[in-house]
Amino acid sequence: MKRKLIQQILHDWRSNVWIVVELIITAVALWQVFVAFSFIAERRMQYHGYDTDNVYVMAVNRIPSDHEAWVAPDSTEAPDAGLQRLAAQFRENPYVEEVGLASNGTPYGFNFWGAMYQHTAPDTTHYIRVNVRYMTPEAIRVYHIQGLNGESPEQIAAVIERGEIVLSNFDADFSDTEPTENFIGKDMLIGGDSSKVVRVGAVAYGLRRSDYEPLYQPVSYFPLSYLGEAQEMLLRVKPGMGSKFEESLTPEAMREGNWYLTNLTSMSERAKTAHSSTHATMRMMGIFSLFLGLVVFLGFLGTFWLRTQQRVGEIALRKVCGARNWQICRRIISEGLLLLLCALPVIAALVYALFDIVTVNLIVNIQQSPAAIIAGTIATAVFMALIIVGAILFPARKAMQVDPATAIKEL
Amino acid sequence: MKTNSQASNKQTLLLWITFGATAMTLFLIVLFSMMQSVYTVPFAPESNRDRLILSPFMHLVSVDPSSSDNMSGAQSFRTARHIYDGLEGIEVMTVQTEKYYPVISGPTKESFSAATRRADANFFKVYDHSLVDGRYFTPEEADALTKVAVISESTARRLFGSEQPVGNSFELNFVKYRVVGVIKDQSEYAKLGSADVVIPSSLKDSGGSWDSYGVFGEFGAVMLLKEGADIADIRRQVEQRYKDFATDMGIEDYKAMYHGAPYTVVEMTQGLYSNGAPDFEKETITDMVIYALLLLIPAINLSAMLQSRLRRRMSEIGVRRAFGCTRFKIMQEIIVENLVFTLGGALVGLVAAVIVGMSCSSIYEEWVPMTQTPPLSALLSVRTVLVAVFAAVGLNLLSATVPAWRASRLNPSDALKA
Repeated sequence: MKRKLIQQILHDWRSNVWIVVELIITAVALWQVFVAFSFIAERRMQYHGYDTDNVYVMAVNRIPSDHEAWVAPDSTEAPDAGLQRLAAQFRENPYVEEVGLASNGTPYGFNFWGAMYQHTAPDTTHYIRVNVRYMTPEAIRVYHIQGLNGESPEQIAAVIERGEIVLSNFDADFSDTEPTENFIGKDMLIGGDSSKVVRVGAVAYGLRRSDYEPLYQPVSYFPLSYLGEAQEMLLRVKPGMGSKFEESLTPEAMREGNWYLTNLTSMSERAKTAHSSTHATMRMMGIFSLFLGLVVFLGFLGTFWLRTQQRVGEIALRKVCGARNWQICRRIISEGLLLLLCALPVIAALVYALFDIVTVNLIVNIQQSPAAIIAGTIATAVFMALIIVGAILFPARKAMQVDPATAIKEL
Repeated sequence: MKTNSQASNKQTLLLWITFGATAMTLFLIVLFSMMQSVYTVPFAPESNRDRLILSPFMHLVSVDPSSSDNMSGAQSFRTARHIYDGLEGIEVMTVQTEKYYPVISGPTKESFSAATRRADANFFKVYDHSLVDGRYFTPEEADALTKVAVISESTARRLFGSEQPVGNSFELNFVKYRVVGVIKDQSEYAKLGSADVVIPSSLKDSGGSWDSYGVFGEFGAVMLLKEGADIADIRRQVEQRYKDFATDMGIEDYKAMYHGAPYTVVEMTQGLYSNGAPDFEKETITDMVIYALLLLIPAINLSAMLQSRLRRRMSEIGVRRAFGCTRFKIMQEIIVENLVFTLGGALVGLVAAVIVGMSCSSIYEEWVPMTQTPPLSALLSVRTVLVAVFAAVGLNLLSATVPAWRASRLNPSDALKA
């Protein structure tokens, strides 16, 4: 039966050549898309070691001294006493779990605000470029930042509390920095300035600019007290209490002394904005794959519709000779899948040939992710097979319904 | 009789599939084109997009070759002015910030975030905003950082209700500004020129500066090319200024890296980076490959379907050939017949693309969530119609040429026997 099927495919070689060419182009294009999808999904599913759910951020501002609402500061108080009172008031809010202050302390912001750290060992000097995030210990607790060696957020917060810094993990494909674990307990010179020395107290997971991005360089959590000035107030609300918290806010709650808070935004909103470009690209890739799939679907539907109509007599004869309906259906579907099989060596050769000149340019660093390549390949194969089977199913069902007596009479 | 009817049904199904595939192909090509044209087709206040060029970033790298130390980001007012002011071939240049969102409040007591820009007075010369009331702020007011503002109509309504906005004051982050002008609301798709509030800025504005040299800040330069000016010539001038930049600014440890600025609006849509040269060639090739795939794959299908349809017209073609019709004429007629069909699909695809383009603002998102409907003039532009027509003609030629050629080569006697 298989040999006869191959003969039949060879008999219709003119139209089959075009179908195979179409399958080759479509599969190669879809492979790139599905591998890209798998790669993005792999990045998204990475363990980040912190939690931005139920976290809100507000911008910290000060009333200018020439404004009528400005009040002369009490010289007995700390300069940021008003801000500390604001934070304390938010801690009293029944929906709030934790409140912290930070500068450049939020993920989903696209900057590399940083510094160069220098560590001089007996035999060599190490330079580390870091993305600096100034945080209070409470801010560490707001994000539930985990230590790389299993430390709890409380333990990481304690390191900041005692005035030491915390370095983070990073993606070794993008930075040739020494593993940050090697610097625990070591002193670092900030910008090579021997008067600015900080000690590394722990290593933890780093806040990312985007959930889809690697950590291009280590993050350095720095005690906010070194900088003195907070730019953001971070709040963790109790699970599911976000909307109630938002409703509970009044303009008075956002202002204390010369300090006021603006631009309340949830981290999920920030993430949505930060990811909008990636999501837009993914959406377009999705539409593109659906379009290609639909075109192949229609092509197979039209071609096999005509073929089954042309082969009514042959189908009738098969039925007369005892062929069951499912055998007729299987034969037609097998023909489509055999065409995909014919295209497979060329698809594989093209994918291999285009990998270095196309794929690595489209999907940066894909070489480091064999899992995404395997997942993308399986997804492409399954998608193509499903489309072919789905498209042929309708003509195949029509063929199953052929009445042998009528069909042979009409021959 | 029944056989004829079945044959007719088969043809009808095939025709619908062909039409559907054609319309879908052209829908996607037009939609893809519209997603770019919404940021490149001119409309107010960016009516001069074909002459707009911009430079949002500065990049400094350490002069020490063993160091990877570098800084990049938006420029300070001083940097933008220093590099881009007084270039030959530039009609007018403005230094402006990206939009940011401070809280504003006025007599209505409503506090809300408004898309705000700081800019010099040339901002209103580079972009063609429509002044509804009052005036724009003057260069003197900008230079002195006078607390005046030009606001949009809808912002004026929210701040002042029924009160007269011009001459009235509002607070922006607790700083009082007097309204001097009201402009029409603009589309958020005018990424460079739109704003709810525009306030003055000048060399005295050091806002957002974060480096010790005052090179970086919150500003970028946007310029209007003179008619017929060559952007390559502008780039040569800018590159020279980059070479002198560190010396001019008294910077010893760093040098300015030139990455091909200023960029056109079309280049801006392909993505700009603060610390590297954009690869426009790669982006263009990627776009071309996508367009080619969108045309080629359906064309192969449509070609096969047209061939099937023509197989049923073999005897008709045979008769016409027997009566002296030339091969060229047969081929021409098939291609023209198919073109009419394809143009019909293009029309359906175009209408569908405009409907989707008007109703799904999320497809235009690039880093910023879009909430407004894009201007119809940007979607249904001459460019969009031309893309639809050229794509239809291309699809037709790709799908119909081979079947038409094969049909025209039929032997009349064989065709009549069929």
